[in-house]
Amino acid sequence: MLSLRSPVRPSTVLSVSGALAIVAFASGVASLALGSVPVRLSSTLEILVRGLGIPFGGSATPSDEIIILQLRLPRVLLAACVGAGLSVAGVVFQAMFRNALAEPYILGISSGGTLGAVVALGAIPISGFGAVRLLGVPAAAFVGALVVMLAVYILGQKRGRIEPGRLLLTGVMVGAFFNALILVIVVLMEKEYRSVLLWLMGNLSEATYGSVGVVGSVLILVSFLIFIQAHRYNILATGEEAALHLGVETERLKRISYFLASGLTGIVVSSSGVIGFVGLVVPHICRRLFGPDHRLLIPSSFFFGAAFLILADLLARLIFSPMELPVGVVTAFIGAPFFVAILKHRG
Amino acid sequence: MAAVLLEHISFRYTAFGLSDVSLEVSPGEFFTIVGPNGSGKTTILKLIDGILAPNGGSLSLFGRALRRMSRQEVARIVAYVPQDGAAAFPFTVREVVLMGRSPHLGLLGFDSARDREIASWAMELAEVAAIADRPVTEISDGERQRVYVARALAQKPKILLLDEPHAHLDIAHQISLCESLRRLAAEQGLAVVAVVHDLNLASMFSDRMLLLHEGRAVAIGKVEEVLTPALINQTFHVPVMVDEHPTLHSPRVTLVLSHGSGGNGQGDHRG
Repeated sequence: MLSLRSPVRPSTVLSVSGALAIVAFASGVASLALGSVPVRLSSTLEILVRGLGIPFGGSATPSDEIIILQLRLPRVLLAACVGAGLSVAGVVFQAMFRNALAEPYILGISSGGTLGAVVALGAIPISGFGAVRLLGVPAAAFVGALVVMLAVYILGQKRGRIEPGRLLLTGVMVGAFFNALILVIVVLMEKEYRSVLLWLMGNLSEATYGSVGVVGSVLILVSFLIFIQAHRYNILATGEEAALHLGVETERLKRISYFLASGLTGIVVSSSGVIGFVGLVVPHICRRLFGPDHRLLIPSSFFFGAAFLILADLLARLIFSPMELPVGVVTAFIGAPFFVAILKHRG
Repeated sequence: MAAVLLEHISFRYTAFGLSDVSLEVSPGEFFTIVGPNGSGKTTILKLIDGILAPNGGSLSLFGRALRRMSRQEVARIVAYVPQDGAAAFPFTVREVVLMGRSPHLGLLGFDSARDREIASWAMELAEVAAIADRPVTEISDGERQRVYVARALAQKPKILLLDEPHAHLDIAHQISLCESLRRLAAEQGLAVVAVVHDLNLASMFSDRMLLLHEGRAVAIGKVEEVLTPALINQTFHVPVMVDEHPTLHSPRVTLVLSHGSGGNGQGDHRG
């Protein structure tokens, strides 16, 4: 397979990130233009430019503008944030557990976060509590994700040692349990059955600029905090004792990383529900393309993850258009065979 | 000022430990620790590196109490070459050696041109420059051991700890490694503390040595004071003869087999 291997420099990171950001942007534009009502590419770009406050004449109709700016843009931006967040969280869990199969969905953490979000949605009345709702839901999801992280971490070890098989199975079971709880709560909230399904398989259709703002700012802050640990993850990958010799406070690094990655997962899924396998597929492809160095793996997974989920959501909208699939269905169709392939390859 | 100073160190581990070990290593000194398996040699190295904390006694590096130093502060002056390190991820040799620069990197963790220069220098010295772009998962044990030496040198330490650095090396690499380390000690004032199994290799290159037995210091001092037939017999329980190396004039240890004829398969030290 193609691999660009030489010591990673800032210029490498910038050029790879830049290229992948362009891919993500192109995916975004495609996703804005395509749908049950197609909008011409020129009109789409024109509306985007105008959306930035730059006067720009053209042929776009007012209804095009509503479709792009009100309906599709928040959804595309949210897909980018969720994809990037789940991918970065996946990289961190894989580095911590030294296991390429660890990711937020398999570990049950996405389900914990979603449960937190659903509980908060049920508890906070819809009317008159806009800000409370906007911030309270992600906060509850954050707590839910941390609780699952702790549970999986404690149950996944035996005599103080993390066992990879045990950890993954524990995650899957905790996830199944939390999914059942989500089901119960959504049903008790007297929502229709369809919305239960959307929470369990991922749902980006309720995106608003408000949720994009909250998720996006947390995403950028947490991703930066994770990125500055990248060279320590490299060392940790060569062994815990080696990391101590090279000056890494391994216990502190692990605590910070679990906290950041679980928190990021929780906040991301609070707006989207459980979307599986993104954190598995994206880092795996990036590792194959760019090597195991986390200084490149983290930013490349961030941008590639954004592009990946934008395109997955586009597929989810297009396949049975005008009907929509939950985006998690698409990621599961891609991710589950991937999981099996990696498992088989590892022997 | 002593580079390494251990005063009355004791350490309790489940089965064995250390009791009342004191030693001092100066900058530029090549210090070796010898003794049977399980006598606590590696434990001393890990105490000096601060990975293990002593139960009693005090430990300081260049006059600073070790327990007050952060891991990063320790890693800026102490480097450790482990006994063996299995490689799980396919980082290249160069990438692994560059990790030695980690304690000196800035916030974003990118190496500078100077860091890469130091890594190249370390790879030359440890004789791994030729395999710089190979993944560490695909090289021999001996090569990997030299990679870990290079990584330690890339840290630019003032104190270098080595745990049986010769275990997987052929004699040519054993000698060249020892000579490189001696030269670094002499030229840059590097304090070297090495756990060595081969008594003759230790004798040829050490300034001073510590003989450990069941967690106690049996003898510490100049090589000729430590490598005596009586002390070796007392700790390793093998009869030896000690004479003088014909050119270096350091003590030369020769195993004497207790049962005259039963030569095969014996020899060497045992644990």
